[in-house]
Amino acid sequence: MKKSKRLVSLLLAAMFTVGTLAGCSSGGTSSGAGGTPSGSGEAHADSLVIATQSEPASLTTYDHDSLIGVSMNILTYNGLMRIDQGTLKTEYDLAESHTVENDVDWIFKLKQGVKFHDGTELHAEDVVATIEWVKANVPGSSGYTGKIASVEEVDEYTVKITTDGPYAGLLYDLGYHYNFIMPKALIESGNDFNTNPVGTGPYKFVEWSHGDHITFTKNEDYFDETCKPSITELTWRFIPEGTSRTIALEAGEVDFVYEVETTDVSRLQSNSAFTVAEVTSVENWFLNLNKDLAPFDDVNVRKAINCAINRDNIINGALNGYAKANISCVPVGYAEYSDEGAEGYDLEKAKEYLTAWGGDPSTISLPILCSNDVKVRIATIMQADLAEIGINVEIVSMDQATYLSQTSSGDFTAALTSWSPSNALTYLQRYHSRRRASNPGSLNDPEVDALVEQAESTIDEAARTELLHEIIVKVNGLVPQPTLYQSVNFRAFDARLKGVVPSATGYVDFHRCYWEA
Amino acid sequence: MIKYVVKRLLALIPVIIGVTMLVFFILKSAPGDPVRLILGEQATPEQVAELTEQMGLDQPLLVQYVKYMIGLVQGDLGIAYSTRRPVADEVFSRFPYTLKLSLVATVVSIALAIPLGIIAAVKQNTVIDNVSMFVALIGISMPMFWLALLLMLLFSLKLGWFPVSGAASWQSYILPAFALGFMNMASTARTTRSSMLETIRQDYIRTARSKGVSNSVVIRKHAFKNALIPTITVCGLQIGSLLGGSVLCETVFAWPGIGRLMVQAISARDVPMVLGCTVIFTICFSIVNLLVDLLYGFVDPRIKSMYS
Repeated sequence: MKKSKRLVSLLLAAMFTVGTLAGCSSGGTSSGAGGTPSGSGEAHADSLVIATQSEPASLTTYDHDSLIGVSMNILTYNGLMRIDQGTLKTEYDLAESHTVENDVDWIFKLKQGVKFHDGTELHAEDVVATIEWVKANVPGSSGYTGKIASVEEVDEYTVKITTDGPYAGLLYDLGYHYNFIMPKALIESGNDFNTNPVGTGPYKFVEWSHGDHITFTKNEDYFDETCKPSITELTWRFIPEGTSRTIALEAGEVDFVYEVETTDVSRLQSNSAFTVAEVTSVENWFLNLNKDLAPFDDVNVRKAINCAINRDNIINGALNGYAKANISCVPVGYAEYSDEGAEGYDLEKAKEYLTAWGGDPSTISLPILCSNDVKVRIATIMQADLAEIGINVEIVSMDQATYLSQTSSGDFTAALTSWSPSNALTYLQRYHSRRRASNPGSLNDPEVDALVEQAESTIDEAARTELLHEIIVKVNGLVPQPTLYQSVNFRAFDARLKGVVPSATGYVDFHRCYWEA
Repeated sequence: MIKYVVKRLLALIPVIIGVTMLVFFILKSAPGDPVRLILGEQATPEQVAELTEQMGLDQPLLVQYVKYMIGLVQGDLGIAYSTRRPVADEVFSRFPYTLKLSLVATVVSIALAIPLGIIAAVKQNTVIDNVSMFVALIGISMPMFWLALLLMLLFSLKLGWFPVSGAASWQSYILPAFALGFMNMASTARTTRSSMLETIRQDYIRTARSKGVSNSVVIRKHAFKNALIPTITVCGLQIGSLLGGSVLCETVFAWPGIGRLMVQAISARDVPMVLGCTVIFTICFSIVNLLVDLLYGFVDPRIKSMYS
């Protein structure tokens, strides 16, 4: 008895001491023995395990609007068009060509021999059934189906889509997940696409263990010969905690970390067993000012705020340096990007704008709504910046649900928010006054409205680009929402994995990835 | 005894009604719209109105609650707002993971705490007592989050013994169960110690010792059994708190349990999911308390006689 008691005590003390010592010695030494993925230097198994923060709400193309949900959709589905993750331009996916007649009739020729995962062949009727069903049943899809007046089958491999007026954004809309094509027979039979997602994509769904993982296997019959999937099995594991994801990568438990904690970036970069890919996202963060409230309806006040914000301080102080400063009303990355007419940090200019406004800055109260810790840190830095010109900032912290309720009802003065569509036209539509229905307090400028409408109806790309440039310069001068920065995304993975092209939109084409031989 | 058990189980009904009503109305009175969370910032008022109607959220709160309770009586926990899946499917697929983890953590906690508490009591005011209570103090003071990361770094990354995350094998249970159990070990150890100290000062212990009974027999057969009741109470309460309190552990170890599910549901204002999780927790907590009460009877026959 005495002996066993002593043993238990010793065992406890040893476990505790070793655990604490090991933990204490782990900082900065992860690239040592334990810092290499298991089996490094050998050929990798024909599978890829991806660690991601959150679980998709749904595997359907229509019951969500999240990055992770779309990441699953692009594995299993295709649209008529797709958005090239490198250039952010549209390219053909299920369609092989298209023509436009009378500026409103879009005739799409479909690729032949494309098979759904259930073995049936893709025909025009599937395209018609999908778009009609989504338009009729998915309220959230109206941003991407709303301009489509009708869709009809011309022949087995030809579809005609008619828009309600000339609309240049159609090709982009057809590349969004809401318009990914499902088989007509399954739509009509009431298939549950959440548990049985059947598309034409490079991977087929295998299983979903809720709270743990989703597995896909490669589609041997994938139609696109130029990028047939190489890796047989793809598993997404849901690991909500950032450091746990990094440790899982270092321990060889996962091969790819989709969202890397910024605090772990330098540690992983210093380890040759891993590649850390960095990409500036098109997610543009800004201070959304409620322009229905005085004095923020005055352009001089908005310009003063814009010029008083030191973006470098925000990036270094609140974001560990992992962001790219931006002053334009659209993100860097779009071909149409321009910072013409935009102004950056200039305290003297800020004071001049306040003088031009003519009021007393100490009477300006600026409560900024923040829905997470990062936003609070950003607002704190802005609070110090704006104090320099006499504007009093109040930081109002709340959860995401409350934040959305208040911003969508117009019950706010200022809020930190972001917007990240994949093309300039969609981005600039945000500045049209019709968006005031969903974004109360946003810009209300007839000149901008007219330019946006003109760009929307200009099918010719060169002419549209000129118009978009004109809108950007105009909006930059109005500073409706002082732009702050663009997020930088990090993806970390086993260095033997090749073909990874992280996109500015946040997606990765995993069917283009392969293991080094 | 059976009558007592049935009575206690029937008492669950008003408890569930009370708890669901409280949770339902608190969640509904909190600011934030689940429809907005689903549709996002760019949704138009028309889209929001259409989905609100589709989800039945345009009806008066009382009607929504009564409909929920009618469904509950029929075994239908409703449809989750965020995933559009039946809540019962989500909850029952995730609950076994939390239950198993809680039970293993309880075993770890008891296996560590009771010997520690007994040793500390028997060797009162010695180095062993101080070390034991110091370990217990560390257990209660160390943030679970930090302990979990230390365990991962040592046993997963350095030694490669156990997986970092998930619940794929029995090895997956070791680290989260130890992290959870170590936290709860502290209060059980301290309770065992004080209960043992009180017991070993009783007259009948002194009598046993004066009759020449060996120390180990006195401790095992006389003192420990009589000191067990407070320890059982603490252990019972801990199983309940482990069920609900494993959220952090489930997050760090990516454990597919109900705790994580509930936190996600609260953030998403997913009322049916939160209620589903709450009902399960309430039933479990009540059953564990009942089992604890019944266990008293086996340990102390005087209590057993009161059940009839």
